[in-house]
Amino acid sequence: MAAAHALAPALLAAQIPALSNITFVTGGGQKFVYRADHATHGPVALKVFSDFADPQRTQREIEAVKSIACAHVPTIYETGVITGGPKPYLWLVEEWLAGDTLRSRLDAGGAQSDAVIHLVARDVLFVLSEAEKRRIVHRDVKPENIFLATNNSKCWLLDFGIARHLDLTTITAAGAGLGPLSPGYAPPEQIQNYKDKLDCRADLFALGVTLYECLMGVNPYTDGTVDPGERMRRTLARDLPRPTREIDAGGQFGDLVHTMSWRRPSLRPRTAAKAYEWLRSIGP
Amino acid sequence: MQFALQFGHGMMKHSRVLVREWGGGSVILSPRDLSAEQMVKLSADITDLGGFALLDPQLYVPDCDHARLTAHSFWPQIPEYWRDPAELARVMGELVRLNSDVGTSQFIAPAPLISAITEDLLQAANASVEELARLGVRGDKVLATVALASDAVRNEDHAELLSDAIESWDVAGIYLVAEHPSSEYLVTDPMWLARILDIVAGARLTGKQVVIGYCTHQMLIAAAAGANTIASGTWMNVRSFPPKKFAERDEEEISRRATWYYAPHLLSEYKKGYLDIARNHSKLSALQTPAPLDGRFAAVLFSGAQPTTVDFGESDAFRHYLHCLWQQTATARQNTFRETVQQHEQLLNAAEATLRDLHKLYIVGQGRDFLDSLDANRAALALLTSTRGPILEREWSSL
Repeated sequence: MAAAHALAPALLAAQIPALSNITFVTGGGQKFVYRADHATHGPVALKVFSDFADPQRTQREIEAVKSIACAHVPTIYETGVITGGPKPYLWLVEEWLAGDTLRSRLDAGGAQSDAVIHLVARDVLFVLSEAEKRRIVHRDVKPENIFLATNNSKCWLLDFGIARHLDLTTITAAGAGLGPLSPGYAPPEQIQNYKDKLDCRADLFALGVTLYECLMGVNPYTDGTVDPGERMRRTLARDLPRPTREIDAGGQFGDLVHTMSWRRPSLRPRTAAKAYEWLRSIGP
Repeated sequence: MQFALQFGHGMMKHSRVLVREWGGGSVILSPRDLSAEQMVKLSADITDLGGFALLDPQLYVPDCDHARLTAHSFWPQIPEYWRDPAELARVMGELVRLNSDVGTSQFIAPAPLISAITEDLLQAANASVEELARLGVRGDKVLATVALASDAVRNEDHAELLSDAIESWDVAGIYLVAEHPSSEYLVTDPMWLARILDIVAGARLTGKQVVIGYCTHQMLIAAAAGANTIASGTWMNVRSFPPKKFAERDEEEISRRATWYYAPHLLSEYKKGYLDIARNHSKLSALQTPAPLDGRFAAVLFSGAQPTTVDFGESDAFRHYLHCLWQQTATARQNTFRETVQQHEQLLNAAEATLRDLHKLYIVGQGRDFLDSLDANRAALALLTSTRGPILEREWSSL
C-alpha cells in the first residue's frame, strides 16, 4: 500500500468491522476521509492518517482531545491503527458532518460574508478556549480544518491532536528539521520550531490569519505561491496589515484579528479565553 | 503614575524637603553616593516624613573600580558573581541585611548591564531572584533589575526573549534602567522610546509592576504603557542611566554647574540668560509654570525682575524640576488608555506651538529643548497604539 494513495474500502472494512458502506470522499497526502455507516452511531466519517511517528502516542492524545467534549469538535467514537502494511495507518471514526470546509468556501467565493466570519470566529475561539483549559494546542488551525454546516448554523474545528504527529511531506528539504505545520498559517514560533514556546497563542495566530483571509479574500502569506519555503519566509518577515474591511461599527473585530496575528506572541491576546471574551464584547 | 526620587549627589536635603512637601513619596537610595550608615539614617528620616525607601544595588558593572561602590560589603569579589554559588549567596546575603537595616518597602534584586540580550545574561537576574527566595525574600516583594545598554533597548530581534524572561521571573515587577542612545539627555531616537514603551507594556500586561529608574520628564510618556513609577533626580547622571558612571574610578561628579529652569508645559529647560531674552521680548510669561501646576520653587523668576538677577540657584532649580515632575506624573495616567495617549499628545502639541514661537526669537533650551524630541515621542506613542493599543484599552482598568 503506497502512502500516497487511499486505502481500499474493502481493506478498511476488514480492519474495522463495525463499519459498512465505506466510500471514499476526499483526501490526499497524509489524510483520507471516507463516509461509512457505523453499527451503533449511524453515518460517520472515517479518517485515515499516514506517515506519523508514534501511533500509540497519537491515540493517547486523541483520548485527551475527546475530553474537550465540545459541540464544535466532532465527536470521536473510536480510534485504532491499521497494521500489516509497509507503514502503520491511524484511523478514527467520528460523527458525520454535513457541510463543507472553509477552504472550499474560500476557493469558491473569496471573501466571506459577515455572518460566516462571525460564525467561524465565535465557534473556533470557543473551541480554542475550551482546549486551552485542558492545555491542548491544536497546532494546525487553517481553513481546511474548519468545517461549516450547510446552513451556516455552526462550525467545527477538525483534527485536533493529529497535526503534531504528522510528518508533513509538503515541507521542503530545507525545512525538514521543522515540526509539522502548515506554511502560511503557522506562526513564527512554530516555523522556528520553538517547541517549548508553543501555546494557545500559536492557534490564535493561525486563526487570525484565517479570519484575515475570510475578511479580505486573500492570505498575504500564501498569495501567489505554493512554495512552503516562501510562505514561511513571508511569515517570518512581516506582520499582516490590519484588515481594511470592518464588520462592526467600532472596528473592534479588525483590531482583534490584527492583534491575534502579530508575529510576536507577546503582542497577541495572552489566552484564547481573553480573545473569546474580546470577541463576545464586540457589538454589531 | 507614581514618582520616586532617584538619589544622587547632594540629594539628602532635597529628599527630606520634597518628601515632607509631598506628604510622602519614595526615594531610591544609591550606594554610589551613600554609605550603608547614611542609607539607614536617610531612610529613617524619609519614613518619619511618610515616605519609603528602595535601594538600587547598582551592580551594573560588577568589575568596576568605583571606590564608593566597591567599599560596600555586598560588592562582589568576582565579576560574574551569579555563576559562583558561594559568592552569589554572600552578595545576596549582604544585600538582604542592608535592605533590612534600611527598611526598604521592596527589594531591588541586582543584575549586570545587558549590552546584548541573551539567555545567559538574563539568567544573571534570575539567579539573584532565586537566591533571594532561598534566603526567604518573597517574590512578591522583589523587583528584578533589567539594565539595558542603548543597543539592547533598540534591538527588536530579542524582544520576545526579554519579555518571556520577565514573565517567567517570580517577582512582583521589574526595575528598568536604560542607557540613552548617543548619551543624549532628551532622546531623539523614536525606536529606542518605542522599545521602552513596549517593554513596559509587555511587563504590565503579564501582571508585573514597572519602576523606571534614571528618568527625565520625557518618561512621562511611560504612563501610556502603564508604568507604575518613574524616578528622577537632580543632576543629569540621575536623569539618564549612565553605565560609565558606575564603572569609573572616583569620577568628577559634576563638570558643568549651570542652573536650568524647567518649563513643565514645554518639557524643556532653559538657562537663566534665555529667560532674560524672553523677558525682553515680553515672552517670559510663556515660560512660566502654568496653573494648575504649582511652580512656587521658581516663582521668583517671574516676579518682574530680570531673571539672572534674582536668587534662583541650582537648589531651587532642582526642587522646582522635581516638584513639577511629581505633579505631572500624578496626572499622566488617565482613566483609559486612549485618554492617556490623547493627553500626552495634547501636551506635545501645545508644547510644540510655544516652542516654535520661542525659537523664532532664539529662546531655546539648547541641549534641553524638547523640540527635537517631540516627533520621537509621537512616533513611539503611535507604534504603541498600533501594536498594543487595543489590548491596553481593554485591560487598562486592571493595570
